[in-house]
Amino acid sequence: MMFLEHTYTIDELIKRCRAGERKAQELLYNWFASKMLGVCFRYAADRMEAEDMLQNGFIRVFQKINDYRGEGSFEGWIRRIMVHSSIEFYRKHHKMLQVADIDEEGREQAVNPHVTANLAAKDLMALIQQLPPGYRIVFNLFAIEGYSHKEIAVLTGITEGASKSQLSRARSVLKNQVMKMESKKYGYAG
Amino acid sequence: MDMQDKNIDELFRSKLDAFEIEPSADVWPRIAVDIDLNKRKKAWAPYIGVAASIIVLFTAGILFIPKKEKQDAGQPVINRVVKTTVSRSVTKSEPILSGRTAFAVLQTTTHEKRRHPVGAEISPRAEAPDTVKTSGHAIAALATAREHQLTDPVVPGTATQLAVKEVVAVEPGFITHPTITPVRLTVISNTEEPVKASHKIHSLGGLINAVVARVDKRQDKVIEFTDDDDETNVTGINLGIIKIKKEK
Repeated sequence: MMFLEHTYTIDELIKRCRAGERKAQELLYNWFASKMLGVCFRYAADRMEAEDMLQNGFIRVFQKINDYRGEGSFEGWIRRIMVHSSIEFYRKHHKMLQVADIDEEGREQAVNPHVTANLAAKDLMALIQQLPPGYRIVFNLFAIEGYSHKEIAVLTGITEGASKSQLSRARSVLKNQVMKMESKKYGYAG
Repeated sequence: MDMQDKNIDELFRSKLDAFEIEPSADVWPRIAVDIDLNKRKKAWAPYIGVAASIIVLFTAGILFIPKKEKQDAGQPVINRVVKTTVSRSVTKSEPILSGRTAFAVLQTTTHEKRRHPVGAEISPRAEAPDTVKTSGHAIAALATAREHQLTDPVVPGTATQLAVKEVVAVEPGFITHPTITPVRLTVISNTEEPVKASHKIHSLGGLINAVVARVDKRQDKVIEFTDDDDETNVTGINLGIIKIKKEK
């Protein structure tokens, strides 16, 4: 006996998810889970936090799936929900996005762009995860998601000035860390 | 050469924007459990709203009813209302007889005023031997005995509920206990079209609003709900000291 598994388009899955079909929800989760965990990972300090954010995000996706009107890509819509879910997670668990001053280790060092191209994604992810939550969220929203400081202020509840300041500090820390990584890996001294 | 801000942004964006990582196997089961829990919560939500409304109405009833009784106690005239069935909120009373004892036919309609005299159409039927009858003979007999006041007959609407109201004026020192027996009044003929309700109830909220409107005659009711097909939400609460009203 041969079992054939039916393949669905994303539109079919959305339609069935709107009807509350559990199997369709699972298929939709399987479709996007890895990508969305990648998004949550950038906002989280570790895997456990990232999976909690992913869980909350998907619950919201299924609750609000009727609100998706087909304007823009569905992946973009889910991604925005994941970002909001991640920020909400921090607001809930860390109360505020306060940042402690961290040692930026003196002057910024020069970085060779040709060498950084060889850095692995997981190494850069580790650098982001080491940032304090406030730096991490603002850097992610501005540098990777493309939000403006005004939008970040609305989303996170901090001022535009605080957003700019945290971005600047995050960049400074990351530059120094990238330099260290380069010198370890390739013996590049700058 | 110092790396420009844009370069560091670009470095992280290019490497991490499409970053994927496989979630643990237990994430989906946790999501499925949460979805079920949310469904159950949603299923209970309307019942919790109804239970809360009943409690509020009950409390409001306890607060309002004793006040009425106190006002009545100070009046020399004792009004007794004997009703067979009452299902509408607005009640009009038209006295038939005047004197120490007066009978009135209570007409209950929704919003419209009476249209036609219907005295002949009403045929009261006594159920017990000592029942007070409202037919012509009985009224006349009672009028001579007790100085009844004759009043206009009343026209009930189509879906009219009828009841007899007996108003007994008792002088101090001569308080007796009149025996009042329920009288069932029937409408023999009524060719009018049934009275249509001016407001349709769309949801549970509308139903509760209608019930509250009967009990609470204030402009801002003790509790008000939206009457939408989609969902039922509380739009206003008036507990006297505490008054909350959602702007429409």
